[in-house]
Amino acid sequence: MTRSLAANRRPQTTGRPARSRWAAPARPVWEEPPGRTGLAAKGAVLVLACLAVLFPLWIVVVTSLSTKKTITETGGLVVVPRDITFIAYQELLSGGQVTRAAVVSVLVTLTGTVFSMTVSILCAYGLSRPGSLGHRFILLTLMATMFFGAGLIPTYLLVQTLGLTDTYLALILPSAVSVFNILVLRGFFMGVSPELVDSARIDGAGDLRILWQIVMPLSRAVIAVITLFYAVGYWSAWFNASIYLSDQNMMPLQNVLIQLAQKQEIPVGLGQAVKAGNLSGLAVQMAVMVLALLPVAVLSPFVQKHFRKGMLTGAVKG
Amino acid sequence: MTPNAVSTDSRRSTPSRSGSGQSRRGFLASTAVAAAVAAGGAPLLTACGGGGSGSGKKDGTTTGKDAAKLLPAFVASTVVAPDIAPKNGSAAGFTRAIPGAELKASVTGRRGKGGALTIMAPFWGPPPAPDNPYYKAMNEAIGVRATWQNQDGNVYDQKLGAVLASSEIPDVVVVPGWNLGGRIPSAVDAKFEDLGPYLSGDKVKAYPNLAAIPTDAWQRSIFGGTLRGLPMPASYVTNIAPFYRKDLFDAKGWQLPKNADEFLALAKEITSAKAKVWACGDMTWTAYNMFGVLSGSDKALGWNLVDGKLVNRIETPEYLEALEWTRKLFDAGVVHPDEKTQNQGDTGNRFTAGQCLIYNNDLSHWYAKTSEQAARNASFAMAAMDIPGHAGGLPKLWATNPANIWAFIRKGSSKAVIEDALAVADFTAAPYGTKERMLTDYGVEGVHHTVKNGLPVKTDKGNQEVSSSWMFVASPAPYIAHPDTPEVTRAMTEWQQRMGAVTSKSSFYGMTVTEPSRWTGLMNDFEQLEKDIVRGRKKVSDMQQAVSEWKTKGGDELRDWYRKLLDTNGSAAS
Repeated sequence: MTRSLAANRRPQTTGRPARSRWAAPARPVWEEPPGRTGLAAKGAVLVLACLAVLFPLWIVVVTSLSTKKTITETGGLVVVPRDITFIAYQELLSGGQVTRAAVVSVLVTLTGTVFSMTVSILCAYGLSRPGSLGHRFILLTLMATMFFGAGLIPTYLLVQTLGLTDTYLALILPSAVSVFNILVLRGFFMGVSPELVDSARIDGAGDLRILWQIVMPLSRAVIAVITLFYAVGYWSAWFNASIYLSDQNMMPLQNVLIQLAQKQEIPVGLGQAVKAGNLSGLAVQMAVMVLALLPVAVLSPFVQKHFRKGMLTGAVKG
Repeated sequence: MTPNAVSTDSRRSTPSRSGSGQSRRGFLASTAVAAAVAAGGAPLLTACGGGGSGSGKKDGTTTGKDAAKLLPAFVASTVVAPDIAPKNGSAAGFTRAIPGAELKASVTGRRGKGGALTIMAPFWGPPPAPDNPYYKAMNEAIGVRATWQNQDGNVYDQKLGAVLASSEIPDVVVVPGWNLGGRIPSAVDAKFEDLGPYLSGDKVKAYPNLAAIPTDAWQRSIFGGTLRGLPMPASYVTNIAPFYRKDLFDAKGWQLPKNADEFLALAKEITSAKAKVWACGDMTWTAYNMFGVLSGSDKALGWNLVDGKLVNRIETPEYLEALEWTRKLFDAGVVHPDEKTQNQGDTGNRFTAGQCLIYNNDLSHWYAKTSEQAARNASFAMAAMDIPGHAGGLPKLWATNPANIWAFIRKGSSKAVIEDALAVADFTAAPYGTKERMLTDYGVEGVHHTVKNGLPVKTDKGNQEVSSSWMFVASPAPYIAHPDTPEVTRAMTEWQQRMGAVTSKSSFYGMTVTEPSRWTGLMNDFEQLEKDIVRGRKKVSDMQQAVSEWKTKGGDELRDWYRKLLDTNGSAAS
């Protein structure tokens, strides 16, 4: 026993792998626990990857907090913080314009997301049930819209004819439903065990009850992901407002932020230049980016845990 | 009278952006535009109009004689004499503020009939609130009830396309030249009113400020053989100035270069990467001017008759030489390293920071940067160097468009609406030194501006409400007026005059040419290719290959098409 153990150990102590390990590996090398070097390399790669993401964000935040003097001296983007000032944020948030636009954006995002999710879930559930009336035709029709768009002018004419221009509905209805999102939801719903659905049906549950009490609770991951997709879409949207709205008081946050960022690029006279003092156009632009990113950055971690599962399911089923 | 950089000449590039990421599309405001699409591909020459009034269709058979019938008579304004008279195509210069009591009236009484007008115009920045005191004051002074629809300037072309396709077109629509893409030129012909019956010949004399708009600008306002646009005139002298840090040049005793080789040698002397100082930004545009490359600001301007043959700028040896020379600058390491990556920061910021001592940009930057730095760097001084000829001596420059923004009046508008719109235009085209100009640029004294040391300075309310959009309806002959920095005003005007003296007009100068749609995208890839070549990512021979492909894919046919146009209409250049 002792001899045999020693014999087994020998190849390892001499650094030669046992022949049997090469011939029939128990599992692939990448599934082996990494050694110290491997761990260090992995850690380094992850740190670098994080830095690659965080460094630009750092620059954005620091530049937004910099004075005009600092920005001029660095010739643009600031890496090392100096003379921190919140003047760019004060400029953006004073006057009530941004506050009003933020309220508009929040309301549009909430209403739009609820509406979009309701329509998408109902549609996806219908399409996921085998044998539902005309589901193949409806599915193909929906998919056709992914490849053939009407174009801006026909869409504008439709929105105008429906009397939606200069209404908040113009910010929601034209982009309310994403066929891609419906397909992802449908793929997930189709994976719900048919036995569960059948037993619920035997117990007398109708489709709405099955959807609400069986399918949706089992699909929280994908619903969270799609909700995020829609919410980010509504929050970030600016083009529809540019095209369909003329009333400045109705503009959502993104449009107002774009306008404010542009304002800072307009040259001013001596009087204004003195008055503007520490305010830099670039700082305002960076502050605009921070404000626009903030809600998404805050929201994302809460749905992050669902993200992988939700996306993977949508990707492999359909 | 506008310390706030108000001068019609510098405003022509309002939407331009500085920095290495600047594109000719945004900057020169018309490159991407020039080739507009004509429905059915029929050749349209809109500068030389004649006949077909209101039909919206022209087949390019009009002549200069017919155009003369359409053009308004020119009656120079004598209300206020400029401090620096325009010369060689330059703007007029006004170096002093004119006290309120001395302001003249260029319009007698209220010209408007009190009607309601909707005006749609692009806007960059937060638009003023509707019904604000400034709008009210303007409406009151003109005698109209104008309501503004200020649209995001960045997506204005798309908004314009949608609105022009719909049945709800505002009474007055502002159309910048750089938005004349796709089907918009056809829509301009079809959807907007013929102003000939109101303005052609001596009829314009009923509107004295419109009569003082230069004829070149009116010629550019003929669309589809009909006078349709109210122009915002601009100097035709190149607006791309090579700026240098005069304070640092003087301190170091550097002499301005007199040719391309001297420029490169000086750039090498200036550059010290260790000290984080580089000689220049991307100088491609200046290179084009130094080497005498035809204008790239408009597709039609890029063609010229040489020895009986029409040649395009991209076919000329000067074009390749300019690219080659700019590439040498990059190769020599004298260009700021951030310029190698497009859209990496703002060259203007690097210039004021002293990291890059020469850059080229719109002439209006002279005033903008000077006033910006006055408060923080007392020793800061900049100037524009005279563009040297590449081999020494004087350069050969090419004229740009004398107008590139127009206002149009909706077709089918009543006579009262048209006359109200013309009343607005006559008011906003008032020259410097008039009450009308002062109100348009500065709003109401005490509300929108105050007078300090004889200079009007806008209040916060003025900055919020006084909108440059009114200028888009019509503007006076180009002028530069920055009375807070008279020396800059003088220098800008005189630079234009010197450059204007060596400026020539190419064969299609002053014409608004609508190319057939099948050739619209022929030159789409050239701008990026130019950037890749000067940055060393592609070879100059790649450009020769691209030009060869351009010829076979339609460039030669396009040449024939332009030739036919020229043979039929003659050149508008004088």
